[in-house]
Amino acid sequence: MIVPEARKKMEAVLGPDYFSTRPEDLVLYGTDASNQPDFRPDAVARPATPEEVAALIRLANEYRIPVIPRGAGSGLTGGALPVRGGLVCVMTRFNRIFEIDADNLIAVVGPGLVTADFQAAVEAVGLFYPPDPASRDFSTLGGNAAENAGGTRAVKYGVTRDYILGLQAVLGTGEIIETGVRTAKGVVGYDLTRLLVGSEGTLGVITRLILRLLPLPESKETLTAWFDDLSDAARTVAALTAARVVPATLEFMDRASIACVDDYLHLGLDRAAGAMLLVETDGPPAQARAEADTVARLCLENNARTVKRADAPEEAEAMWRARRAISPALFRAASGKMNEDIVVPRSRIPEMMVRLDDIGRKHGLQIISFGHAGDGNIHVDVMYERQDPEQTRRARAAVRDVFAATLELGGTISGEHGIGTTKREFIDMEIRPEVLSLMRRVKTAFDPAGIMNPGKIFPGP
Amino acid sequence: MTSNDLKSALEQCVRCGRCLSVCPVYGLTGWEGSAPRGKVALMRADLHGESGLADRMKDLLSHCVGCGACAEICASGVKTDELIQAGRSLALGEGGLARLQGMLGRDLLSRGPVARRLWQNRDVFLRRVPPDSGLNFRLPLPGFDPERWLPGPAERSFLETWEPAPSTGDGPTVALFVGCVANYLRPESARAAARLLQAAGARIVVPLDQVCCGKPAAGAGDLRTARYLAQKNMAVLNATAFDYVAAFCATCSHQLQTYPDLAGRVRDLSDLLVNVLKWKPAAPPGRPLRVFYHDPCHLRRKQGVYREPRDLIESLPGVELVGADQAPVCCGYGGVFNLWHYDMSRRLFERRAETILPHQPDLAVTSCSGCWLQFQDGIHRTGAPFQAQPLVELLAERALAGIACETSAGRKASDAPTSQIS
Repeated sequence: MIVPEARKKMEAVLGPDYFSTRPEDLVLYGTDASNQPDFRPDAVARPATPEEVAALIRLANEYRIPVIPRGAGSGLTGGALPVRGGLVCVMTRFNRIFEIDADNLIAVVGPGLVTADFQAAVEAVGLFYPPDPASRDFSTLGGNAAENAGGTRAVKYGVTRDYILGLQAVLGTGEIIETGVRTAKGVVGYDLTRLLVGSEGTLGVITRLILRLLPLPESKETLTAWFDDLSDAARTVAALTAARVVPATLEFMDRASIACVDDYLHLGLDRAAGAMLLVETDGPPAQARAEADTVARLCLENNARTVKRADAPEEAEAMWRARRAISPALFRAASGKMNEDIVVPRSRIPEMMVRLDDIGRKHGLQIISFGHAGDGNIHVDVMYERQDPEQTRRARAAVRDVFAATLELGGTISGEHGIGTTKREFIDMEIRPEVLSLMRRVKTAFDPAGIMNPGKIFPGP
Repeated sequence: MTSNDLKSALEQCVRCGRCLSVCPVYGLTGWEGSAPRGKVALMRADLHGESGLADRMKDLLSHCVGCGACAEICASGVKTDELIQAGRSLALGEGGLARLQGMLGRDLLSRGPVARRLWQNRDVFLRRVPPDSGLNFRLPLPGFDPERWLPGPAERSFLETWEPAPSTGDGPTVALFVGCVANYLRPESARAAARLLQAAGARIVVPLDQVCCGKPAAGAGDLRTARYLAQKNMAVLNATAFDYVAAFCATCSHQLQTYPDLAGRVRDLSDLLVNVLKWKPAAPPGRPLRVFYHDPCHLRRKQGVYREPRDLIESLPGVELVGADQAPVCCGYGGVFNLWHYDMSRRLFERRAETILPHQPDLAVTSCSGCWLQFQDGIHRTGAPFQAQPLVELLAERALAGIACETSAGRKASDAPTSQIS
């Protein structure tokens, strides 16, 4: 609920074009890519300056109105959902590149900038921003930062967190703060930058980002390897580590995801295979080639049925098509999927795959796995029929078992999607009560009134 | 499409947001309501009876150029562009045309005495255009925007002047569908198309009673008028024997392909020339010309035709095809979108032009009357350093040289017959 007085004051901050309580805007901003039932915010703001955000949050404090920061609404765990109503704060107008400093390998950007647009801009001047979540063509850098998004290059280059040197944010109090540095190093005070990255909008709204860049790798090599058995693929991953090869990308698909993609795109994939690896190496041409040679050799030594090298960018693109099509293909395989993104130490991927098989059998549900073999981040999709309450209940139980197995193997329940609403009932499986309690106290320091993105991360009502 | 069909089609959307990356209108506004995902959410809420939406649905659904890029990228197979058309129809109700025109009239009359006088004289401007022509959906009414460039109506329409000559070709019989823009505003395009078909060996028939294809009405949600026009065209076409129907406007051929009895026999002219008639222009060398081919969304995305126009252009001696590999970019015309949102339409053209400029063409060529109108208006307004020409005219001019030809590639947009409203 927003009382008319608060509404009037908020509208005065932004003007009628960018502050709305019209029913259509409440529909439009009541949903996100987590594809859960809709919610309805009470108002939608599309500010363009940190000062506007600060003014809105000060009013939200005064009138105790929840504030839900939102980029493109591409998150998979419900981070942008207005589960308790309130004000959705859409950041897409913060889409400027303030500077690309090639001498110091940094860039300063607005958080509403689309990730792929930024990547194109830096690559045009020979620079590189590695984080590449699957949604990069439409997700925003601010959303990537708030969720600490990963991607396929994390095995070599790390995740969004590793490229954020500093930021500006408006806290839940309405204060505008600047954290971090614009240098390669910096150890002055607590690392609030890293605290805000991945905080899912529960501490404040990011209004500017200082990003670290790399030189753009000169070349890359792409290959796919097909195996009879997933354990051979897993052994190959271990062999690569032993050979000191760090590919830029090391993705895998299991038998079920190969079949799903082939049903969907009819690419003529090797459906008899039990697993597929997609590997990219990059760097100076000679190095990328030599590493790809090593990868190919190790694949064959570990019983790969076939290994294919891409001789041209179009061939590499064709290889990527299969990998990129998995998520959409899975949407067609069943009416519901619980899409988890667990991580285990990569040496334990084979054990985890056995556990997943067992869990699927136990609950009578299909579990499809694919993802980032190189960093142990496995996308686990528990397939079920949404209309069937019994299957839905079993799917939730299966997810709980998946998380328990993950933690037993020394893993974590979310590698790159965050907790949001979909995983908050499970967070205490991983985070001990005293640590959760500390996190709550940290939140209180940033957001004493508890208005920032309520109903996310923490378990409870 | 019934509201139940629409409802279940809308349920296919999983809200991933991938369509945000390709939607030209969302690219301008950053407003979820411009994005296909947002419009799906709105229609879904509306059909579930959410209050407060119904009377604004037309406005909400107007943010769409109908380019189909969202349908192309959607992994869940949601054809949002078609659903928006269906949604416009539901929002407008049957007989949407009358309501639409009433609305336009109201908008216009609210703009004072000058606008009112123009409105009263609109018949002078549109006097040669019958009431069921799609041009009534396409041409903005006088007074809407004083800066807008418009082609003036031809003295006599193509169909009024067409005199069937005994056909000597031994190829398939091709019925030529002319389209409103060519018929009333650009008869030389239609003449060029007819001559090309004859040169390629087709036996050509031009049904003189053909009417608008119906796409402008359908796009505006007036499905009743669209159905009526389809029936009329089918009756006219069925009165004659033909193997193919050729259209040289992508929007026309796309709409004709939706006629139940016509599917498979309607081809874009370039497709027919290359793949059926196997025509190879035997053109004499012409003066050097750098040509950029602009893909109409309704041709490339909806019909998968993009190689054929390029092949034809490349086969013309002296002509250099530039930027041929570029991915399609919508010109921003979008039919009724251009009328409802001229400002955004113009900005989309500017973005389109920016992607063409690096190729430094002398000429931008396209095969859609809507794209051509948009290019003419945009070039006139922005002073972009290239000209625009329908593909059929370039082909006829270059490949049928020696036969008297009334078009010229070098003509500037502003030299063409125009009727500028001020």
